Amino acid sequence: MSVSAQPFIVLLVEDSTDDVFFFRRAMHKSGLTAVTHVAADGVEAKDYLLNKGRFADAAAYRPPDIMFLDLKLPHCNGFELLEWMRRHAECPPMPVVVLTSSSRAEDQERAEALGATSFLTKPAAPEQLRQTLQAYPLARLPAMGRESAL
Amino acid sequence: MRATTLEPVTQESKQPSAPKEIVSILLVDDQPGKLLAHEAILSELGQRIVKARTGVEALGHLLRYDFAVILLDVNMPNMDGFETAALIRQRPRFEKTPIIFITGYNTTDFDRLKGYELGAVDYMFLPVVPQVLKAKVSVFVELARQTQIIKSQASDLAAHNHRQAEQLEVIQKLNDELRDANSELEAFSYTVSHDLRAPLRGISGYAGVLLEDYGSCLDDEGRSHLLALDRAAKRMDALTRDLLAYGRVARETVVLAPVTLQPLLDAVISLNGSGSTPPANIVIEPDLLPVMGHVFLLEQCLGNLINNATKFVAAGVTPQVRIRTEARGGRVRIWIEDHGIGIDQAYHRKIFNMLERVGDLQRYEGTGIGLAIVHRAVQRMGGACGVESAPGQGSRFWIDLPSAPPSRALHHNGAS
Repeated sequence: MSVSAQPFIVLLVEDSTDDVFFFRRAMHKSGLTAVTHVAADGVEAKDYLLNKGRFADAAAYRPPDIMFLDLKLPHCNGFELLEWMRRHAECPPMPVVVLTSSSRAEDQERAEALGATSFLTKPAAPEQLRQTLQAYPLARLPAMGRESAL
Repeated sequence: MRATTLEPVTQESKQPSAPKEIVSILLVDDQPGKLLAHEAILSELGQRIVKARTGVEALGHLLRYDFAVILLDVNMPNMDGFETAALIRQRPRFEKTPIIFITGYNTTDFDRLKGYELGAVDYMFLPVVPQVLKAKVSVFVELARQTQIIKSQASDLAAHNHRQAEQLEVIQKLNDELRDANSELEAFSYTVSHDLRAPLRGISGYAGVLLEDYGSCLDDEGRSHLLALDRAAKRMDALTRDLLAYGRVARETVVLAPVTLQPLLDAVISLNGSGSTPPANIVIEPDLLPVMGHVFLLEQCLGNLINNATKFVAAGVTPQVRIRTEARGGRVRIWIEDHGIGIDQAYHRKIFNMLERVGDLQRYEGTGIGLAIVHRAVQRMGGACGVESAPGQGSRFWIDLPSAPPSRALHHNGAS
């Protein structure tokens, strides 16, 4: 792993511990070097983005380079979070990949209209994660991670 | 949903046929002979005749009847005809009731008559000419009968309108309930699709993890059990997904619009991916004709038909699929043709039924819902579908839909 560069940050917003497990496993298998932080719902995601609550440590919880977002979440769902992110200028800009369990066209359209960048059907395969992360001009993706991805 | 009875709106023909309406005529005269004579003349009119010997008695009758016309003798002791008329007029119900004064040829009486409102009053000189009396009275009788008919029709109409308004209210309520039920169902479906499928993803996922990470610790039988577990979960997931799709196809609000097929097919094919091994060779003929359809329903039709076309081939064979359109009068036939295993003619109708998996098809993965979705979706778009096929000779599935005006279908409308 590159020593000088700060690790690439992935924020996964997901309430299902199973899905978190599969995501982490797929990330690991993708060969990409990245740190995955997990917010269990939209409220926690907001906390992370604003460095509040259990994510108050701004050094440990740096702005994500990319977000993976489940749409159906307790408290504050994916749509509400996307809306909130659009309204809040203090929220760091980042690509948002929506993780869906059903490919409902209207959900995709709505998420897209709210700023979602792309979609992945659960469970995301390592190859899909690799392609997704490499689809964006992510300057900060560690070189070694990129190497191992190829 | 609560049961609400809905009676058909019937035009209750309580239409009063004119001859049945009987009206009343009041004869007021102090001389019984004259009363009798007038009654005899007027009885031919077939109406109810009420007689009074004095003004007071006449006023008494007003309490019980409505009168089409009142014949009033002017010359009566105690209370004469004019006095009686004045008292009659005081009652709101009789303000406009026609009164015929019977009078001798007498200027004084004639002058007094002028005080009455024209039209509501007439007069006759004694001696009464029977034909004239009958003619005059019958005019008023007819007038009263017509008024009565109009009144009863108006009240019928009012009652009818009232019933109609009530039924409209019932329909409105049913519509509201239906809309509520639909949106509940929509929410339910969403929950099912998300919450019911999540555990299946878990089962499938963990089976995969076990195979990958611990597969080496298992013998062949153990590994085949894990594969079976994965297959079962995936099959349940496919069933859930197809049932949801069927449900949505059945209740989607359908508004037909021109649809360009090429981009729709591209989307459907890219969504299905190269599900088959080896990957299917799908040929879409250029210049497909536009159809009148519904994007979501068409996606479901084409997705399932293309999926079938690439699925039902002999093992190891590259599926060959050809998609083309054909103009048939005002309709367009979309053909999805394959070189697969084909279907025995005996099953050509059966395969479009729900959960029907026939003959050799049992050997292939599938839910038995796909063609039921196609059939329902086509039905909902006002089209038809069918198949031409024989075992070993491939299948040619078709969908007929109304053709769209080519100019209006230039751009593909993105989604449902």
